[in-house]
Amino acid sequence: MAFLKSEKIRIAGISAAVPREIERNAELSWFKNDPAAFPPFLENVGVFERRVSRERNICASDLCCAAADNLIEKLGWKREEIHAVIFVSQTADYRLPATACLLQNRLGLPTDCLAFDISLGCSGWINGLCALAALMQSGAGRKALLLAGDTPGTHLHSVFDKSSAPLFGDAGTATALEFSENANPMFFHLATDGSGANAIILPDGGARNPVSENSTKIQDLGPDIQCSPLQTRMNGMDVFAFAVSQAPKSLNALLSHFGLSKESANFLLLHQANRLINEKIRKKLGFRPENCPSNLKNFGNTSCASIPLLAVCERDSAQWEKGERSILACGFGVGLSVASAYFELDAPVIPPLTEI
Amino acid sequence: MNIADFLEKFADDLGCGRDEISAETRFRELPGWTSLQALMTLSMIEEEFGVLLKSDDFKKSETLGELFQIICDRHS
Repeated sequence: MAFLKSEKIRIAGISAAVPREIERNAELSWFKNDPAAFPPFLENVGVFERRVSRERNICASDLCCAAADNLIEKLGWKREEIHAVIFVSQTADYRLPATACLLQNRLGLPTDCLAFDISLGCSGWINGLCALAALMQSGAGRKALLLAGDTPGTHLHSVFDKSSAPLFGDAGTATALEFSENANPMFFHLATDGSGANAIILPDGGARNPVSENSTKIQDLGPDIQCSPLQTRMNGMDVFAFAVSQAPKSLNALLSHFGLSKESANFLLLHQANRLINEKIRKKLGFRPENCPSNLKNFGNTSCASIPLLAVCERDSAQWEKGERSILACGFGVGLSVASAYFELDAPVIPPLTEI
Repeated sequence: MNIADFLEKFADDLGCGRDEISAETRFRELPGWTSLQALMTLSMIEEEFGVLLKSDDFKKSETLGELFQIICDRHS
């Protein structure tokens, strides 16, 4: 079990960007042909609509760039002061070079800048936050950017797959970290179970199964589940089982190891994948619904962008910029991987959501 | 734990009458059985019996009785 603590690193701000195109689940063929199936779907899964950009092909890097540009401006930061950028995503621009390198250039960051990608999904933002904070403590600059974004709706899931098409949406986020003498520490717990790799996998296109003619052929994986080997296939039940057991375990391990009390957390921010999963986790941890917000309804599962996007969506009701809030957060999913964090949001700059 | 308990909770979740199901019921053939219902059943079993089933457990079960047997085996 990996327990980490970072000191003197403050979250200066969080911003997010989504494509403006909205895809409404009630209009998908499966629900149009069987409208009675939609209410239980909405009740248990919780996704009403999502953002995707099938025609314009907007990438995660584009969304993160828009979010970062906006945040840098609102913070009044000078680009030459930013010396580290980590891009978290499973929808990188290219297999190589790392998208973080491209972003260093696009964002006009100095060339003496640390830049690399972390390939994680649902647990990605917390893993990235942990890594970047640790690197900053070791001297990687006093100002840094964590860019976490994914476009699973547009790029990873088949429109002919009823088990996943209605779930995923696109988003890109930017989290600004700065060295701050008085910052509260951040606490992390990270865990991995690679035996569950096949629970969420996109088989072709890597070195293991190089792209071939067969890669583009749509396969029939079951009733209403048709996708090609270049698209993600998911075993919903195994992911569900992992989430409802490992997320509470990780959160409780974090609290116990560092002697933190969940009563002092103002909010529980969970990765947004499925309403049933999150309700189970919320109840197991003993948080009230008003302290465990959700944006599944309008954005679906945005992979690693999920938790920071949630913070942005909650800006009006949580009023983050007004003071100190203690956050307990957990991301869980592809890997299979789970990550929990406890940190303070101390009047960060969180601008309204950007749509591009 | 007894099967009557399990069947009652299952019927509750699915929204069918308790008398419409039994240990011999092939759950996949029930009207209203969807992958979503499978998730809810998994969730109910975890909550009520403290056992977390895997997708393989569902795959190799045909009847509610077989599913319940796995719960019993897993519990001990």
